[in-house]
Amino acid sequence: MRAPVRHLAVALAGSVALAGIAVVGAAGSLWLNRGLPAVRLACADVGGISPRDAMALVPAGVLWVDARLERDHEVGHLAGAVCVNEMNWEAQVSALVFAWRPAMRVVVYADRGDAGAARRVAALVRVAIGLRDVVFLDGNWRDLGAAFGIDGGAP
Amino acid sequence: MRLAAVGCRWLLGALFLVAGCAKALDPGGFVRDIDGYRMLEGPLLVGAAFFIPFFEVAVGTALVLRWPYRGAVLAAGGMLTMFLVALVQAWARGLDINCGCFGDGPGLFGYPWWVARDAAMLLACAVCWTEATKGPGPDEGGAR
Repeated sequence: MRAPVRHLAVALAGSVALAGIAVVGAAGSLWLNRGLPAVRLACADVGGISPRDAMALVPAGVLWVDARLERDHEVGHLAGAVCVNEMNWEAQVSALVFAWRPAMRVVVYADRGDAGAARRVAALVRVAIGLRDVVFLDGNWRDLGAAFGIDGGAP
Repeated sequence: MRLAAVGCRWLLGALFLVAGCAKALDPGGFVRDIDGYRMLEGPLLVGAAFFIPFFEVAVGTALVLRWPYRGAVLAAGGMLTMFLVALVQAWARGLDINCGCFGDGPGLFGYPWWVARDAAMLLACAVCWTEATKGPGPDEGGAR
C-alpha cells in the first residue's frame, strides 16, 4: 500500500477507535444526566412557525410571548405580548399563566437571528408549564407589527 | 521540526484534555452553548453535547500518550475544522454566543480570538501530522 494511503488508513482506524471510546463515555454520562433540565428542554418537540403562518393562527386565539430582555420589550413589542425570558423566567412566568386562556396558541418570539432564545422559552413553556400548543416564531416579529400594532413606542 | 512537533503535540493534548474535562463536568451548560450556534436541534444536539467532551478527552489522552498518534491527530484536526466552521457560521449570522470551548466560562474576547485560537491549533495539528507521517508511527510499531 502506498505510504499516504497507509497513513490515512491507520489514522482513520485510530480515530474510529477513539470515537468508540468516547461513545461509551458519552452514553454513560447521558444516562447519569438524563434528567437535566437542559437535556429535557433540548429534546422538547417545539416547532417553528413563519410570520405568515402565525397570522393564520390568530382567529383561534394567540398569546404572544416576547422572549427578549425587558429593556428590548419596553422599547417595542407586539401589542398584548407578555415578556417572559430565560433570565427572569421565575419572576415572569406568572404573567404568562394569567394571560393564557384555553384554546389559545402560544407563539414565542425573539429578535430576528435569535430564534434560539424563542425556541428555548417555548420549550420551557411546554416542559415547565405543560402547555401543548406552543410554537416559536422563525422570522421577524416586526413583520406582524403592521397587523397587530407595536406597543412601547418603537417605530 | 521534531522539537516543534513534540511541543505542538503536548500543547494540543493538554488543551483537549482541559477542554473536554471542563465540558464533561457541566453537560447542561454545554447543551446550552451548542444550542446557541443554531446548527443542531433535539436529540442530535444532546448527542453532540455529550459526545464531544469525551471525544476531546480521548483525543487529548491519545496525543499525550502518542498512541494511536495519527488517529488522534486526524481526529483533532477534524474536530477543530468543525469548530471553525461552527464559529464562522455563527459569526456570519451575528449570533450572540458563548463559544463553550472550555466550559461555561465568560466569552472574554469574542469571535476574532476564538477563530484565531482554533486556526492556530489546526496549524499545530498540521505540524504533528507532518511529523507523524514520516516513516512508521508508534501505532504501527515505529519508535515512540
